[in-house]
Order: sequence, then C-alpha cells, then structure tokens
Amino acid sequence: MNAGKLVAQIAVVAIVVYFTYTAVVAAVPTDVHSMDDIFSVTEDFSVNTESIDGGMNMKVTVNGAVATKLPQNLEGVYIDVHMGDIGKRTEIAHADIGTIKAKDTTVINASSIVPTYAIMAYAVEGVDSEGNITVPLVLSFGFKYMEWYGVYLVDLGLDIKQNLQVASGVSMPEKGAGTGDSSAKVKVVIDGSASETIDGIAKSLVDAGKDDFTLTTSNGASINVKITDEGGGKAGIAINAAGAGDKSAVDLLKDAVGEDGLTLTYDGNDFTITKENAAAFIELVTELYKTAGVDP
Amino acid sequence: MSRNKNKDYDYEEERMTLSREEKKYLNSKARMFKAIVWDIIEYILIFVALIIIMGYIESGQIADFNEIAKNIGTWLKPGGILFNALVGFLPIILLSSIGRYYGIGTYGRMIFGIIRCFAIILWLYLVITGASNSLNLLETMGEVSVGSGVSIEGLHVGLDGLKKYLTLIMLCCILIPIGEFCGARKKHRRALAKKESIEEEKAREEAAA
Repeated sequence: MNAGKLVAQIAVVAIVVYFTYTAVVAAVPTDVHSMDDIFSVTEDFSVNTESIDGGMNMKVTVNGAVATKLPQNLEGVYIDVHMGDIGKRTEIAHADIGTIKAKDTTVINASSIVPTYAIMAYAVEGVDSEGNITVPLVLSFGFKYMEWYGVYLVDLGLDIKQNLQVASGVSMPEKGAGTGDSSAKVKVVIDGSASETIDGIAKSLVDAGKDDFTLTTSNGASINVKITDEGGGKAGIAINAAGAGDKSAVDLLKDAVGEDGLTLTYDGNDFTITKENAAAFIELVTELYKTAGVDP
Repeated sequence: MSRNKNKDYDYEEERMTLSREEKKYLNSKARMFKAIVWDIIEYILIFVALIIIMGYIESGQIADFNEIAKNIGTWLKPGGILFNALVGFLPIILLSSIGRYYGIGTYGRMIFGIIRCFAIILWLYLVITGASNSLNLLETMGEVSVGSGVSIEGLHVGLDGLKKYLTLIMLCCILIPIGEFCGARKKHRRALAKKESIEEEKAREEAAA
C-alpha cells in the first residue's frame, strides 16, 4: 500500500465532497412546506390580447408576479411557445423573464406577437388523411440554478409538445394551380367541428371584414386567404399563393427575406416578421405548393 | 520468500532476483506494451458495447450489426458527441499506457500522471464545446410520449457547470500522482539499488568465470 497515494486520494475526495456539499446546501430551500412555497403566481396575474397590424398579428401581454422561497436566483428563465413541426416552426410567443429573484417576488411584464397568418396557413397544411387538422404546439421553458463559482450546475430546458386537434371532418374540394403566375391553390372545408381557436380566429377575421385578405411582398409574391361560409355551418378556407413570371411565391419569399426578417404588406400597411418565423412561413407555403401538386 | 514448505528460506534466490512487487517500481518496456494492448482491447469492447446499447435504446432489441449501423444514434455518427468523445479519448488512453513504462515512484510516472489529468481537461473542453455547451438528451431517442397527444420533444442540459465542476475534480486529481510519487520514492530507490547490485554481482561473476 502506498501511503502517499492514499493521503492524496483522501484529500481529493474531501475537496470534491466539500465543493459539492457547499453548492447543494446553498441552493436547497429549508423553509418549504408546499409547492406554493417554491413557486407561486400572484392573484393579479393577467393575460391580455389585442389585434395589431390590421388584424394580421395579435399582441399578447402578460402581467403579474411570481413569488418564490428558493434561496438562490433562478437565472436565464425563458418561456417559448412554438407552433408547427420541426422545420416549419413559427414562434408564437416568447418571454425572456430573466431572473426570478431569490426569496422575493418578481414582477413579470412580457409581451409577444402571435401571427394570425401562420395559424390560418396551418389550417390548410395540417390536414391529414382522416380529415383532421392537427397543430403541434410546443412549449419550451428553461432555467439555470445552483450557482457555483460563476456557473450553474443545473441548466435545464424542456420542450413539451402537444398535438392539438383543431378541426375534424375536413375535406379538400379544390387543389391545383390557382390564379396568377406560377401559383398554387388549396381550399379546405371544415364541417363546423373546428376548435374554439380556429372558430375564434375565423370569426374575428370575418367580423372585422377581413374574410378576404392578401399578403404581398415588395418583389411580387402574393398570398391570398379567403374565408367563406359554405352553408350548413361549414366554413371554407381557400389559400392562393401566386408568384411572378417563372418564379413561384416560394422563390420570391425567399428572395425577400432580409437582415431584419421578412416584410409583408397587408392593406397598404407593412409589417415585419422575424427571420425564424419567415423561414417557417416559407416552409408552409412550400407545403401548400406540394399539397396542391404544383412544383414550387 | 520461498513458499515451498520442504525448502528452507532461500536467501540467495531472494537476493539475486527482483520480486514482482519490486519490479513495479522499476521501468519496464514489457509492461508498457502489455498496457497498450490491454487498453486498446478494453477500448474496443467499450465502443462495441456502447453501439449495442445505443442500438438497443433506439430499437428495443439487440439487433445484428448491420441493423445497428443503419439506425445508429446521431451521437455515435462521426461528428456526434459520443463519437467525438470516444475518438478523442484514444490519445488519453495511449498516453496513460505509455506512462506505464515508468515505474511507480519515478519522475516519469508522476509527470505522465499529471499530463493525463490535463489531457482529460482538454478533452472535456473539446467535447463539451463541440456539443455547443448544451446537449439535447432526446436527440437520439426521439420524443417521449407522456400522455395522449402530449410528448416531451427535447430535454436540453447545459454543460457549462458540469465542465467547470469536472475540471475542478481533474485538477484535484493531480494530487494523486504526486502523492504516489512521494509515497513510493523510497521503494523505487531501494528497488533500483537492488537491481544495480544484482547487475554488478552478475558482472563480477562473469568476470571471475
């Protein structure tokens, strides 16, 4: 037996145990009796929505406060909500909460923009062979905890996906080339068993007189969405994407994405969507072309 | 010491041969080559075992190798974190095998032990930076269903904290080869002196004959 080695090994174990113990002890709460003590939301917590950009976007504002009895700050806290499968994922809500203060109440004021056009476009893309429209909704959240000499030993992020069935009994009476150059058109009819979300969005657009709207880009792509009453409680959504000359709407949209994102024009008003959302939107339009059987 | 009960303690044999224990404290090329061969065999076994385990996690059954190669997890493909980790670890294994040339209690053994700790720290940094400091644990397995229509799509673990924590442990571990050196210094000197005296004696016997 080598005494020197044994002493060194004991010293290493002691140092590691000491560092681990101090880090854990500093982070574990001592006066916790229920989940509310770890994390509770104040009663004045509210979520407000308002329509902006001429109905093309919805602004969601969250106000409230979170109280915690954790002995250390929760850092880098974020909540993201995405819609769509990987590859055509649209961010519909993002909240960078930052720090939730230790043993304190943290006020949260977060707002995000929910793009209506993307939800409408998904209504057409998401139809499966059984006539259901399912929209994958992904909630991501993450945080860092247990500070240890400037880094965090716990750094977790979780993506929870829920496949929301927003409508059933959907048929696709029309698909193929639409109106305009290099165009594609798809029309679906929902037999009335749509979820409140789709019903609500469709209804609010119809009520606002926006049952027929066109998004255009500066280089000539246009995407027209038309909501029609098909009688018998059925609603129809028709999407027509048109390009210019030989170029399809997909090519033009790709060309139109700039440094800041993609600028779309609706009813004479410009609004810009982020690069990530633009990529998801372009992917949706590509799917539209494929569904219609037109080469994008 | 002679273990043969019929034979008395053979002082001459004891004096003229190095015992197993004493050889540990002396440099040996044979030990180094043996270590390299065994370490590489062990390394290959671990690599294969990991491929089989990954294949099992993915498909739920231990398939034949062609099947595993087709469905292999993204982590085990070239550029994947496990692949980088395993390939990057080979030089460390070879380094420690080469270090076995030196006997316990020599400067060479201690220095190789210290270098090995730093090599592991370097490896840790390269592997974790290669994974952009964050690992999605569900990348290879896909989604995990937790209820009707609900699944966990990603579980991201930040590795910055782990990197620093493991670096500290490896830095502490430098104490071990140093402690070993200090504890074995005397035995190394004794074994070396014995070896020299044996050689001298043999030379003398040869000269006399």
